Amino acid sequence: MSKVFFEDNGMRTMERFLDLAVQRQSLISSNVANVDTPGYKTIDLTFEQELKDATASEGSRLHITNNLHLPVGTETHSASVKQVEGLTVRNDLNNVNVDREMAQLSTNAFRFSMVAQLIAGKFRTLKSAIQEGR
Amino acid sequence: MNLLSVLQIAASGLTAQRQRVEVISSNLANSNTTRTEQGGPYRRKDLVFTTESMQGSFQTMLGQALDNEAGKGVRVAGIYEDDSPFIRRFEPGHPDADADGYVLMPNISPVEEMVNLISATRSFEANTQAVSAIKELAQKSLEIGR
Repeated sequence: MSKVFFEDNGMRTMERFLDLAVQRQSLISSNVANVDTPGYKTIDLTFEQELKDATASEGSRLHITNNLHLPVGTETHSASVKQVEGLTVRNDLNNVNVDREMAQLSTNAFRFSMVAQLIAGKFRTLKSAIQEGR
Repeated sequence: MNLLSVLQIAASGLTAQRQRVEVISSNLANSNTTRTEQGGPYRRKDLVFTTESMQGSFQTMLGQALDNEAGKGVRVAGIYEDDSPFIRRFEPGHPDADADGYVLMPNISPVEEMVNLISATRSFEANTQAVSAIKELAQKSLEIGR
């Protein structure tokens, strides 16, 4: 059961999804904070690509030698942060577009709460089993 | 990277924009000041922003060391004085008028200051949006444990 629940691919993907969403949130906040910093360039990560890479990599986890072991350690995956191309550069060499950042901000928050709800649902299933369906 | 350190980034943006509003207010308040401690009329002040890596938890520092480029905050690099010439206004009755009756007034254009003020207010609002989005995320992740 523990294997089904914690080693399950869906759960791991969702965990990484949340990690990436937080990381993205930090990049968006950084762009918004630096909207008036001369020379600053908008940074972002490609969400889908990073999620794919993160799911593929093992990260720094403890080695599992027995099927009954629970996974320990964080699955840190360092996402590659890139400057966003194709934005209009202003006179102060800054290319932050607040409208774009606000749109990304709400998309990101929406994604995060969607997956957080999915995880909560999974735990509810487990809870229901523990309580014998009561 | 945790949500609280992301909050620090948005907070740094709020602080920087508030300082900008302070400088603009000072300019507006002194738009007719002809005597200052350094002598001469008040000079218009402006500030420059620069990016700042967040000094945070061990994990944040480790992430930076591993070249996992995390988001950067902002801080005020410095306040400088505008070197543009003072405005000469003909006011013979003014106690600070020169022999020809001209008074040197601060190099401040109220219109320019108002435009900067609006820009600072909007940027501040954008940062508060970022703060509330982060709060929403943290709230959602707490709901997992319910």
